[in-house]
Amino acid sequence: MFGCSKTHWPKRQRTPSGSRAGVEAVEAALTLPLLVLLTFPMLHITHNWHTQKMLKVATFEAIKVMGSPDGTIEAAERVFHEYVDAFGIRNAQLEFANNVDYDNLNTDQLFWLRGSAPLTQNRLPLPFHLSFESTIRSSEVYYRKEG
Amino acid sequence: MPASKKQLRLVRHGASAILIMAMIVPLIIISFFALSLANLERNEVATQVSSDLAAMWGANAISREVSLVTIEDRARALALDNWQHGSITSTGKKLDTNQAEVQIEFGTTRFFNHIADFTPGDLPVNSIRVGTEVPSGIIVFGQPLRALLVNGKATVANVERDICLVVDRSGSMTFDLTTDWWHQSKEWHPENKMANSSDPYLQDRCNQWWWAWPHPENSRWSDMMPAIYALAAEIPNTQQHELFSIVSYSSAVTEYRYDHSLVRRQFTTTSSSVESQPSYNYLEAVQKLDNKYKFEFPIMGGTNIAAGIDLGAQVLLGNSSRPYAFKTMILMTDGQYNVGREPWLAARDAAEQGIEVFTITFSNGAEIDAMVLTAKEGRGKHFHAATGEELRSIFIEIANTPPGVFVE
Repeated sequence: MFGCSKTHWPKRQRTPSGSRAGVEAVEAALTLPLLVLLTFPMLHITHNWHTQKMLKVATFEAIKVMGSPDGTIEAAERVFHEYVDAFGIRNAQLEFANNVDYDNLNTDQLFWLRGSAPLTQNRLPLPFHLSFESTIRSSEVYYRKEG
Repeated sequence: MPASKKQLRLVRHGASAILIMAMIVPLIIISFFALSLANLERNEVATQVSSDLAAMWGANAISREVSLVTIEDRARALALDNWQHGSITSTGKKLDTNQAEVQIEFGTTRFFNHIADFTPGDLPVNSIRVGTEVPSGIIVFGQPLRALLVNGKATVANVERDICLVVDRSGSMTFDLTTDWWHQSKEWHPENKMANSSDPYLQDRCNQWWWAWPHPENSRWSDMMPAIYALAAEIPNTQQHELFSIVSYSSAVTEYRYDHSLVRRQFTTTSSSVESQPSYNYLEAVQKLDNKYKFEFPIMGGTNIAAGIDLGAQVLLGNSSRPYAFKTMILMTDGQYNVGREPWLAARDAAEQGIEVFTITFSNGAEIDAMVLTAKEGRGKHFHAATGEELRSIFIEIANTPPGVFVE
């Protein structure tokens, strides 16, 4: 018994270290993509949501100005840019509905504004991105013109 | 019996794989949780924006006296529009508006020393509260679970304001603004009828006529009046409805003066008097003041500023004013108080009753430090005007305060 184990032992001593290294490499190869697949999209999505939220806050401030009785497009855009600049969002724009005459809004007329910013200039520096869209957009913010 | 090294090695084979398999589920759950948390926060912003905008528009509509039924319908629709477009599922799908609950309450907000207190259901209605409650949180197949609800609540009140303008009618208001003295000679006064009288007695006394009557162009009074007219014209442009009253002050004196009919009469002034009770006829109130001191009553006496503040406070707190409105006193003086108690003590008393006291010094002879202190004690602000045009700008600035405040 002792002799048997003695004759096999050196073989065993060599092989396990080699096989273990291989197993770890395989496991790492399996794990890493999984971790990357879970982490990067999560970072990407939450960062985009954060940018969307900040665009919405800036749009909210802009629409209050636009909705005031003497509100103008210029005043709304000025306020919007003050906020997005403070939030560090690059090249953001205030979007308007095509079918609404913002210069001549009637009292109580419903209208919306939306903030947008290019994704390429506002994304996290990750090696890859899942989004197929080139622009981050806030949701439309609705208001009625005050009288 | 302890396991041999061989057995241990056999057990270790695939241990990492099992660990990964065991950890992958919690990892996915954590990722899922992180995303849901981010979505929760985003929906909180969406609901707050929905409530804020609906309440803001609602308060504006209240000030325009739109019917409460219409306001309720439109404010609810506005909150739902914003929520539907703002609360986004993980798939970007817009949610069903039936999932959101929008509660709207009308009531009265009362202001006291800059503290707002909203009472739902109270009259008169000057405020609206909008509460939006939506499901959010853990996302399951693109839909948030209803178990987690996000609340956004906003109350916006219209700042109704009762303004009392307290003007100085002491003798120095007939001074010329630049020389601080009665500058005009009898020939310069276009309304000096005595100078042109055929009666030698009256001609001899022609200087006495303009003694207590402000020159229509070259007097502090005549410089002040256009600014007060501008204030009256500006008030209707503000979004709130303001009750406007005028109080004047000098000191209690009795003197003989020639009136506009060239009759020598005895005129008695009181320390302070109500020129116009609180009303919405701003221009009429100013015209009444203008006509009285141009044609009917001379401007004379000392400067009892405290008497003006005390009477102004009485008017603002009287039955003709509104208990839920902001109380603003605009105190104007061209000089130094020389009768009565210290004006800052009167301003402190007014402030303790919820009145903010703005002070304006007009002319370079005014005691600015005392009026700065009076404004400070009155929880207001001090302004100085060297010219009638500057006074006009100050009045307009005071009139244009924000129409609404967020109560919560």
